[in-house]
Amino acid sequence: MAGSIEMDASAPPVNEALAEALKSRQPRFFRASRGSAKGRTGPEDTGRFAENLMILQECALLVGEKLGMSAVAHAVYYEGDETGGFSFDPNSNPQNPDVAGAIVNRRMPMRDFLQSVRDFINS
Amino acid sequence: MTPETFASALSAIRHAGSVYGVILTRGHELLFQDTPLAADRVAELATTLDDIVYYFEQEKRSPDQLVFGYDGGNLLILLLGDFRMVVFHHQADEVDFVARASRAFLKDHAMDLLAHEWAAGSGSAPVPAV
Repeated sequence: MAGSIEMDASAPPVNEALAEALKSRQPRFFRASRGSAKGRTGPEDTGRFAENLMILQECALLVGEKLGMSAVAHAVYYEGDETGGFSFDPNSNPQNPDVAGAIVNRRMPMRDFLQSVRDFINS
Repeated sequence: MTPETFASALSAIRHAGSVYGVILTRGHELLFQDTPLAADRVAELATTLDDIVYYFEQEKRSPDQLVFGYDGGNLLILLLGDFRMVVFHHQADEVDFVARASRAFLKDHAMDLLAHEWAAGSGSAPVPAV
């Protein structure tokens, strides 16, 4: 889904937002739609999100296919001390849905992680 | 862990909260399954998990917990060495509770097996890698 990476026009320069998020261990949020991902924490971080998004979507679809469950709502992972994932925006066009997600440098309870992504979607 | 305590622990997870299925594999070996799925579906799912783990290994990545939410239910996947544990549950909010219980079981079981293999002389000394 995320084929190109854009910086949010209102993002602070030179990854200040990334440094602050890492220091405070707060989630860095991203949006993806129509093949591009957008975030406030620099192209490298946004690229990581886009890569994770593609991998998780592919895994979720592969697994769902075996279970007869094709409508993926969300996916989350723990890897080391990192939590990452995405949720589809239920308010977006079902034919071409938007996605929001996050990465955070701690093992955040997955329920809280998903709630934070939903809050971001509704913000 | 005796076969009875093994089955009892997994059965307790299987009947906790909104859980409606549990699968435990070690590599290609199916150790336990109690799901509404047909046996061939379980085998296909285990193969798919193998493919996913292999992909992450090739990418030098090592996620240890994956959660997928679908319209019809939620899947918790725990990865620990050769072990893969899949827990199906309906209530997405239960994910952390289900994961804690499942991971505690999986760590105990993995360490128990390693200790037995070491004692039997067929494995290397157990190292608490978890």
